[in-house]
Formats: sequence, structure tokens, C-alpha cells
Amino acid sequence: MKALLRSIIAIAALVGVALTLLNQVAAVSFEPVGTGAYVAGEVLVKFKPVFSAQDRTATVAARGHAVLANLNQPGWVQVKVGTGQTMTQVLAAYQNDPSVEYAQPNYIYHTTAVPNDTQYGQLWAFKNTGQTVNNSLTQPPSSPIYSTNNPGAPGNDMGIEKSWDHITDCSSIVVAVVDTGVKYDQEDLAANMWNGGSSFPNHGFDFVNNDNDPKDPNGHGTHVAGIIGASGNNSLGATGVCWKASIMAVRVMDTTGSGTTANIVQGINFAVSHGAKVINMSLGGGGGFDSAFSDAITNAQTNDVVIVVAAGNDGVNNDINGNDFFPCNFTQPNLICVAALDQSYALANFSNWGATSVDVGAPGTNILSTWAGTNAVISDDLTSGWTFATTTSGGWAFGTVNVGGTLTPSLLDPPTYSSGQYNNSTDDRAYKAFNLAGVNAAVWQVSEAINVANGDYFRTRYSSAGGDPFSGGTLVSEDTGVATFPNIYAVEFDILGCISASCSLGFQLQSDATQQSATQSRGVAITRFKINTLTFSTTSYNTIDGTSMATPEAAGLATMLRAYNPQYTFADVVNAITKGGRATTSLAGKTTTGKAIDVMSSLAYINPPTGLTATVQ
Amino acid sequence: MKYGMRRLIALAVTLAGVAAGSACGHTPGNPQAAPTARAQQTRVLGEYLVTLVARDSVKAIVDLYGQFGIKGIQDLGHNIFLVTLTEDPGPAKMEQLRGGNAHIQAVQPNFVYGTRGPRNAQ
Repeated sequence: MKALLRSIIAIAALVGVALTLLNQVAAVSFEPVGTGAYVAGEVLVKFKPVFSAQDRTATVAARGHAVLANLNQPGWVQVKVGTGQTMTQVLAAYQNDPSVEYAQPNYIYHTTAVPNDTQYGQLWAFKNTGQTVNNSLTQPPSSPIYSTNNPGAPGNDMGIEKSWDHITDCSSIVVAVVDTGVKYDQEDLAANMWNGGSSFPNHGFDFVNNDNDPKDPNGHGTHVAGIIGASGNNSLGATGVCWKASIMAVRVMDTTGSGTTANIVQGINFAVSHGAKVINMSLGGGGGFDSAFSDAITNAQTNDVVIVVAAGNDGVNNDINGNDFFPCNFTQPNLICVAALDQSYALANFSNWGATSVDVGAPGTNILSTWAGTNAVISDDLTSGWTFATTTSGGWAFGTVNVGGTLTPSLLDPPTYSSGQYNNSTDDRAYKAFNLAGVNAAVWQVSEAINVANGDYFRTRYSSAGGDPFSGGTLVSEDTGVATFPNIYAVEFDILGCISASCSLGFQLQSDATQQSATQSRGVAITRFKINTLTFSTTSYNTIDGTSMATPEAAGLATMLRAYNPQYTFADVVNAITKGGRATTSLAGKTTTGKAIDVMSSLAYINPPTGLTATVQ
Repeated sequence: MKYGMRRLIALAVTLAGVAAGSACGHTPGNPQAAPTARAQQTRVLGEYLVTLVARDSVKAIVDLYGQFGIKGIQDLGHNIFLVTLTEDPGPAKMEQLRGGNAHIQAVQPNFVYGTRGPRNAQ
């Protein structure tokens, strides 16, 4: 396959001569000529343009050789050489002939590299055959998958298989996954984790817990890591953009998938100072311009680090004032922001876009990759099994709430919610125990509407010992002076400390003696209650969607480009990805490039070097 | 004032024409305007990132913001410190106090970010 590269080198060299005359030089990024298999007794010869086909045939015949074919490239002929001459002798003879520009062996090519990983057929992003992506490995088991354009249109993929003939090993470049952590002992990741030495034996750092064990209790970061660098061709599960990699796990997002500026800034600076040259950040938010975050990205730029980020999953235009989504909307030149495409290369219905803020698109629906374990959902229908207590009367009760036209079973305080008022000087409690034995992570999800006056309190609390969590137990949240009606908000809490056979979860509404207005003391409605659990496993996979999944496709490409071209700067990498992409109709006017990433095109993209001058003599 | 950081799934809000009642029946609600909760949920209440001009002026943080009760100061590197306050005066007041202070280069909220994909948003 390297013969192709040699041909490209030869052609590019000629192009380079021409460009030199125009005071420009084209730098060829492919590796130098090495040894390779070729057809014995054949060479390819390129004659100078002034020589006709008749001249070429005569020249070849004069050497006792024969023209097998005139190739459909100007001047090139396929020559059958005589016996008794070595390839070196034949090539030397032609290269010394003043009528010849170039001569080379007729190299033998291999079929395109295809890995033997068991789920490779599901990876439409790498090879879109029009396959239907199924939910056989989704978490929780058999959960629905993205149905639009599944199957999609064959050929809409990253064009990666050809590139694997040139490079599959990106381990010379450290790529940091700044996320929820990484399940670094997952079967398809363990061999491809960063070697952090004795200081970082678990391949990174955890800025949520401030320790050196960035194991992933969420799954998101593990999925991202697998897209970049799940071990390829190891007969297991998934395949990464890079078959071999050096993945640094940097945990900045907690079990629920949330993180703060403080953690993210530390995570970026850690990755930069410990040698990462590519950082993947499948995260974002819209709180406003974040100077500290921006400065960390600038610090990465100063240290020649490429940062690849997600466009966001709100289905909006990031360019519109008020929709700003950071870090995507930062403007540093080392930043690439990625939108998500479906299996027909339509913009995914959830993907954000932006003609000035989002750079490229990449596959982001039904993406199969590594996962941290097995998920399960414990749902409660809020109709039975709860213990209610009050110091006055009424208090919590089962009821219904009209949520979007559907009467939904709910816990209500007061029972006459939302027309009534809760009592003064009351302490109302509702709690129930759940069995969480054996799980490794748990997230408590609640949908709630709260109208509680200033000085009165709505609290959530848990106890791993069961019973009333408001007698002992751990405070999870406390609200006062909140009025959300008629909106219901989904909230979630990490309840790692409650993992036990009898985890009691509860709600409390506590008021003082002050009489409040009806609006302020409308009370609380709990309309949904779920516990999502994760039990660690080293053999789990998951198929999910998001710009979070499109981002590591591009980060993997950035890593591959840097591994293949060690001299590349961040600017060269960004240039190769954005200029080398594939024009895609759905991205026209919605991204800065109108392109989807294309691995082989980016690998073959010839970056014009900067700062060079030449003089025409 | 809220305790801790409530993990609100920002804007993944079920807009409810809420009408509710007890188990015995339901009564039409009286919807009111929704609060603008997004601004609250995109930052950690009571937490600010303070950038100092020089590392040796941490005392300037205490001098300027001590009136709100300082629960903790964590060095994040690059002259940035995470400051946790007992009372939260809001970003505007924090910035107003910073203005003209020779030791403090910048102050900003500790923003909240998410990894959430579309499948989980409900």
C-alpha cells in the first residue's frame, strides 16, 4: 500500500516544483519510501511530456523491453522488462535516460484493512453499508435506539478503512478524554490507556474526588474513549478510530454527568502539562462567557494542543445570541467544534449547528462503543409503599398531576395541590426504601414542581440504613423561596453513599409559623421518581447518540494525524481536518466548512507550510 | 439559597399545564409565569473563580469578599482560586466589588457544564 504513497510523493514532488516557481512550496506529509512488494519484471515509467507514444514505445523497445499499457495519466507507461536484470538496474537505467522523468516498480496493493472486532459490522461511522444498527448491546438492555435513517444511505461514513492501510497505531500521541472518567480496565480499552507511571497508576486523574483514580461511574467518558481508541483487530467488541492509542483519563464530570469550571480548568491544565497533544471534551453549557475556561484553552494553544469539542444537543443554532454554547463558541484556533450526523448524513435532529461556531460534522447517532458496566433502572410509580408522616394534618399524599395532558400519579403536599396551601408550622415527610445492593453507582432522578416560601424548606435526603432519612441520614438538597409552578423540573443526585440493601430516599416539606400567600405556599408535586444504577463490568458496550459521540470521531482523527505527521502543529491538524473534509449538503450554511470529517482525505491533505519563501532565479 | 448543587437538567423541563388533585380527583390548576431558572442552574451558587494578579495576594480575597463568609479557598493553578462563600451576593456584586482592586484581576461564577446526550434528556 505504501506504493500509493510513493506515487503521491512523486506526483507531489512535481507539483512542488511547479509551486516553487510560484514562490510556494507544497510539503508532502507522507512517510519516506520504504520496502514493499512489487510485480517482478515490471516497472512504471513516466516520460517527459515532449515525447509521443511512438517515441516512448521506441525507447522501451530499444532496451529490449515492451510496453504493456499506456496508463491513463500523461506520460506514464507500464513496461515489461527483459530477463537478467535486477529491479535496481532497470530503474537506474530509466532514471538516467534523459527522456524519462521518473521510474518506479509496479507495487502490489493489499485489500483494505478491516478489523476482526465482533461488533465492527455495527460501526456504520467507519463503514456504512446501509446496515441496520440494533439495540442488542444498549444500556439499559434493549433500550430504544435512534430510529431516523436507520438504516441509512450506504457510503455515508468517515472514509476510514483506506487510512487504516497507512496507520492504525496512534499511541505515540497522548489523547486526553476530559469527561466523566474512563473505565480503564474495560476489555477493549485496557491495552490503550496512557502510561502515567507511578504517579498516575490509573492512567489519569480525578478532579471530582481529587484522587488519582479516574474510574468512570457514569459511562459517558468510557464511550468517548472507545470511539477514539478501542483496541482494533483484537477479536473483541468495538474498534476505535485508532486501533492502538494512549488515552489519558481526566475526570472532571461527576456521576450525573455534571461538572464545573473549576474542575474542567484543572483537567485541561493537567492534560496539557502531562503531555496530551489532543484533548476531547464532549461537554458544554450555556451559562455565559467563561474566562477561566477560555484561558485554559488558550494555555493549551500555547502548548500546541488541539481541543475537540461538542456542538451541543439542543437542536439550536449556536450563533444566535442567547444560544451560546461553550466551549464550542470559543474562538481559539486550536479548537474544533463538531456537529452530529445521522446514518444518511442528515444533521441529527438533536444536533446544534452554527455557521460561525461549529466547524465540521461527524457520525453521532447509534454509535456503538465501550461502556463502564451494566445499567438498570428502578422506577417507582408513586402509588404505593411510601411512608407518610406529618406533625399537623394532611401532609404528603398520593395524587395525580396533569403533565402535558396526561394524568400522572404523583406525591403531593398538600393533598389539594395545586389549588391548596401547605400548613404552617408543619414537618411533612415521605420516604421509601429501595434495594441497591451490589451496584457501583446510583443516580436518583426526580421530576418536581416546587412553590415553597422563603423561610419554609423543601428537602431531599437519603439513609443507607433505611427508615426515616430525616432522622439522621444525609442531606441531598434544600430549597427555600422557590416557585416553579407550572413548570416541572427534572433534577438528579449522585447517591453513591446510599448504596445498600435498604436505601431510604425521602422528601420533606417544613414550614414556619408565618402565613404565606397562596402562590408562595402552593407546595410540592413529585411527578417522576427513578434510580439509575450502574454495576461495573469490563465487558460492556453501549449504543448511544449525541454530539458527544461525534466529537471523539474527530478527536481520534486529530490523534491519528499527529501520530502520522509528528511534525504537525495544532494549526496543521485543524487545517487537515477542516480542509480535508467531505462536502455535505446538510452541513452547508450550518458549519464553518460545510464538511463532514473524512479520515483518508485529511490524511492525504497536503498542508502548505507557513513562513517559507522562494525566489525565482 | 439552595444547599449544595442541585443537578437540574437545564431546560429539560416538562412544561406542564399543571392541574392536579388528590387521589380522589383533580382540580384544574392556575398556571403562572415560569421562573427564569436557567441562570441559576448554570452556575454553582456561592462559588466563584477569582484570578489574582500575583499568587502572594490571596489575602486580598479575604479582605474583599470576607464579608460574605469564606468557607474555603482552593488553588486551581495559574493564579486562579475557587472561593466558596457562605452567602452569595451574586455575580454582579462580586464584580462590582472587584472593580479597581489592584490585587484581583478577575472574578467569575463557577459555571456548570454537562455531558448529557439527547437520549437521556427527558
